[in-house]
Amino acid sequence: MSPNIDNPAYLLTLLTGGLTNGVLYALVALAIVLVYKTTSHINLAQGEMATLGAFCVFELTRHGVNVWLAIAIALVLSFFFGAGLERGLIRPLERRGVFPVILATLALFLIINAGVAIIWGTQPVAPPRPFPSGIDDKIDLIGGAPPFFITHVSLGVLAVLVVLLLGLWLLLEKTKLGLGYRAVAANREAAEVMGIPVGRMYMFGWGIAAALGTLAAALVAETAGALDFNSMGVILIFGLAAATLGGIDSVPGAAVGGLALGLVMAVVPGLFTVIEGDLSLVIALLVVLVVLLVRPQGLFGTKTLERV
Amino acid sequence: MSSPRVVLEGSRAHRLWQGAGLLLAALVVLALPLLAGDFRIGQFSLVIAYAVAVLGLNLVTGFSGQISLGHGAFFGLGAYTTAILVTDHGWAWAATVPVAALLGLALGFVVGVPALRLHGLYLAVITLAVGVAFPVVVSQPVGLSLGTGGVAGKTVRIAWDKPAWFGLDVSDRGWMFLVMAAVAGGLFWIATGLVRSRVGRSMVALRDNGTAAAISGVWPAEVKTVAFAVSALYGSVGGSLYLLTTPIISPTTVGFTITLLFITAMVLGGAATVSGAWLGGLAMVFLPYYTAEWAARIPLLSDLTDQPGLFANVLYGVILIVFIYFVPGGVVPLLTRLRCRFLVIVPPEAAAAAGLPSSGSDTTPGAPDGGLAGPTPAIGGPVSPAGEPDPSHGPGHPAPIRS
Repeated sequence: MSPNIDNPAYLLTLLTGGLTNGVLYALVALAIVLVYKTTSHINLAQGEMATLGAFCVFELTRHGVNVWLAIAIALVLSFFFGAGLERGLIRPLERRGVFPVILATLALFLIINAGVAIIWGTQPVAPPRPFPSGIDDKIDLIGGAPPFFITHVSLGVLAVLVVLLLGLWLLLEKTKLGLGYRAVAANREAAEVMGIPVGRMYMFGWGIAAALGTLAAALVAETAGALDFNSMGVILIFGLAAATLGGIDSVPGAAVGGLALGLVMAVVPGLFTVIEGDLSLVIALLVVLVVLLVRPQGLFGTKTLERV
Repeated sequence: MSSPRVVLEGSRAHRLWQGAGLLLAALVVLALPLLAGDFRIGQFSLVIAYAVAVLGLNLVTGFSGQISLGHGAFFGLGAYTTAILVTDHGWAWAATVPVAALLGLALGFVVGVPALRLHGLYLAVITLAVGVAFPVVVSQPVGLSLGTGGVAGKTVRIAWDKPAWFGLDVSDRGWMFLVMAAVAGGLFWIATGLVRSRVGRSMVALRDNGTAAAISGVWPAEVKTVAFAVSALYGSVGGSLYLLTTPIISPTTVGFTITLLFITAMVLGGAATVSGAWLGGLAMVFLPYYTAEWAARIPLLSDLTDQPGLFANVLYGVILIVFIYFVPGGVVPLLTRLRCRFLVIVPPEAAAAAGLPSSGSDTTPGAPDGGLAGPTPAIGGPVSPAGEPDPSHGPGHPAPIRS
């Protein structure tokens, strides 16, 4: 047990840190879920596509574009990139089953990962910073030692998640496009019969997922203070773990799963000092294992019935 | 062209062809250390190490249809086991191999147990997490306490002196290559037997139709865990062999990238073949080597980055996509089809059904010697041509993987 266990400031710091990371996992999990809901595939290149998007933001800001404008441009580019990949690379493999699609996303992983490293080098770069991130950009809440404060970055990241979830909810629940998307997710064949352009909904899912990924990568770079070609490698695993925890076909599940995973991974090593070093990946792996063995559909997912 | 020569499986003619193929492969292996320099020998030693690891992936993914994205972890487990035992405990290399194999078997079993309840994407997620977590764990304090050397990796010196009784004039490295070839030859022989055994046929049956297989008396739990455990064993021994060729093992070596390369190599050679692993191993060694060489020569490319190995990764990705789209069965089935224009091997039952004389002797319905142009089995390596799936079994082509 940690000696700081009765110190409220320490505990609160753990919580806010966990939540901030949790938002990042939630964003990646959302991207995975949005692809999965309609196509029943997992895009293992999601993280690498996100890194590519973050480097686009970096490149734009380097040429003097405002950070937020750069992010907006990168989001649009990512959307079309993701949608295009779905149509051009994944769709032709669709009827050949799960494995060829996974292989195709792995190929994408290799190409984008190496491509980014070739173009922008293997050394980390200083990422564009959408939020004020100086040493004084924080709100002090509890003084003393250790103090408790919330950085503007943490607040900004949390705000992004809230805005994003609201936006997604409006998009999926209140627009015709969202209705079509949900129809395809609920029952592909029935949606097709009802005249919904199923293929376009796949592309829509992939596009939104790619855009979300880019946003996540930009925020990962912001919180880590560095961006390199492997930035999203581990985050993808956390995102997958969060999606599994929340239920791989549930949008609110992805958000809750991400936040919960972030909390668990901050609190467990923070309280049990027996754990030496950074074993967050192992914790994530255990979470995934337990969820899959105890409740395979996750917290909010739909239980799939298999007819034999 | 003339019609192909037809040989009954198990007949004397078939055995002769097999024997000739094996002899040729053995001659190639023996000739290499005599003719090539130490650098080339080192490259081919690496081919052997990779081929053994890729074979493990073929068994679990190609034959039993389960997605494994953690093969780099098994490979790393074997390599680290050997490195730690040799460097810290003074073991001989040969003594560490069984330990590495058993540890691989155990880890594969542990990973395989969730595979009983999960399939498809969930299995991919679990194995992916294992594969990504492994290099992180070895670089953490818990790994350090076991002697993994952390982020910097562990350096290993394995002494290899050619024993006096060995008559051929080969270098120490050449001797090492021959030993590795012998180990790998044995492992490929076992794998060939395994896929033809009851377990192997159960694996294929589960892959093609799990429900039908279960109804026919295949016990999925047993077969799936065995497939995973054996696959991990091959990966682990591959890691042990790898240490002979490369005196250092570090977390970056066993990262997710090498898993991706194993998968690409598997698809390239032919996932549902045993001999395809050799082609995969060759590709894993020579593709980056020549890509880096060419990239260094083209000024536009060499200016882009100081790490020409990255071009090879892009190329791997492109190859993977091209193969998924156009050659989903891999190279070996193509070669088998090529061979079938000259030499067709038919199992006795099929021959009987087709009305061919099943006397067990060589039957040549076409021109007597028309088929001699391509008699050698089209596989490069010291493995019997029996490792390839015979096109006359089943539907005529190895099934692409489904899950």
